Amino acid sequence: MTEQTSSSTTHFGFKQVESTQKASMVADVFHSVAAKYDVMNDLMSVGIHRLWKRFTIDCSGVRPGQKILDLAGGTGDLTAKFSRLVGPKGQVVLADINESMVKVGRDKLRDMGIVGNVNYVQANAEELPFPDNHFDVITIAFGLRNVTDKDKALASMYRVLKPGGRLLVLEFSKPTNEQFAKAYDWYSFNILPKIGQIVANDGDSYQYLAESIRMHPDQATLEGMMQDVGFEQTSYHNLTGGIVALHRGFKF
Amino acid sequence: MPAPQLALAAIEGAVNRLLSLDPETVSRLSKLAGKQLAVNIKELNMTVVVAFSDRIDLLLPDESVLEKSSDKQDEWDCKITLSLWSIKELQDPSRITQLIKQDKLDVQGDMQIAQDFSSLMKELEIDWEEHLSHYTGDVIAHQVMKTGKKVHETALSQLQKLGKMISEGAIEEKKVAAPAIAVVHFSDQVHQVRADVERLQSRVDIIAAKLKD
Ligand SMILES: C[S@@+](CC[C@H](N)C(=O)[O-])C[C@H]1O[C@@H](n2cnc3c(N)ncnc32)[C@H](O)[C@@H]1O
Repeated sequence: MTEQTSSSTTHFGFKQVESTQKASMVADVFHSVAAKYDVMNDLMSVGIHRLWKRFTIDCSGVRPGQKILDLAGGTGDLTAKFSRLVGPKGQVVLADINESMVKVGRDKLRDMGIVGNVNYVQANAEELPFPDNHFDVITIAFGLRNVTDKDKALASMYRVLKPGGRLLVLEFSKPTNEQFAKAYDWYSFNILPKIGQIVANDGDSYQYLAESIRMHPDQATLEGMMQDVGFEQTSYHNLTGGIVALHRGFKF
Repeated sequence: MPAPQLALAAIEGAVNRLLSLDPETVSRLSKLAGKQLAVNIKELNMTVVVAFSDRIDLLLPDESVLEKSSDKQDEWDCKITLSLWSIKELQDPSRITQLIKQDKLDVQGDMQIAQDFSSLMKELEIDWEEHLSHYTGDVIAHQVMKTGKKVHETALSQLQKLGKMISEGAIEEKKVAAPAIAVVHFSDQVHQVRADVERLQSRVDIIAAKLKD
């Protein structure tokens, strides 16, 4: 299953839209949410996203003094932790396509007293504005799904990664258990939009969400895409039954 | 997974809460800031990395990380290997030498870090029993608690239990899965809950219009 069905259109959920428009549609979606993102994240997630993120950090092998890119970093959960772990001699770059997200992230981390070794950059994952061979670790958590040209983005990450560095992709994936996958799918398409309709008077957005998760490449496909742009020793780890997967790849 | 992450998150939270209650934390931690101490627990065959800054972070480096670091001696500033049984004894810095002599503790790298860590734990008076029973009661072992018995066990047996659960992965992932599904939808695209109806309507209209074109 490939994301790109022709050279000029892409998915917005199941709908085909012009590639050039997807980025701005996605940006739109995140502009309005930026300020409330964290509150809702915690309120609704009871912290499970935190465990997935912990696992991501555990797999990063981060060391003091390193340079880390937290791509599609949003409000900076991973950045905050990386900032402490790389210490004053290290550097963390939080990059996000969305200006409001970057701003909220920056304000939040500053309030937490995280200053000095974090830089904030508005950037598109497809065209990263960083030199070749620059970062020791790149993470992209729940961001790749929203990127229009994933191959291009992965290639761009590969370019800015140092030899010996690693990429970690945390993203929704495909539940491994057949039965569970069916239940999950059914839930996503039948129950979730209804809840969305009742709670938020907005079933359509939930429909989009469910679609975008289903359209995202499954574990093996994403691993293949990483290999195609040059990543080596790739592997993935299913979390919570494959609802989420952490993919890993190295550049040598 | 993420059972061990859950365990470490709970312990990390408890320790940092204690640190934040202690006005002298800053000076105590400043000695250790920027250092990383790897603690290998024999019975669990598990290495936890304690990373010091203005607080502590606990990491559970996965195999790929450990493999890569094994050929580099200096990967952690200090590495201690000990038995689950000696964790509590580590809280007494004056015992360290003795523990080493008794082969209960192995320290590689900067010994001072082990000492400082030990005194930090001592000064904080971390009550492992309290924290772990709270933890096992609240989070991990719902099943254990269902027996209705109050948990009045020693820190060691708590630790043992914890270790067992971690190593056997006894936390039923599936039980977490159901709420998780609900949760991930909300947490990932939360804006949609809050989005104002008009804005979304207009967005949908735009999409619809574009699709017609
Ligand atoms: C669901 S949020 C995840 C935020 C954060 N990483 C986390 O896990 O909490 C997705 C983020 O991806 C960003 N994003 C979407 N498309 C992007 C692109 N092409 N390049 C960079 N960031 C992008 C959005 O602006 C948004 O902040």
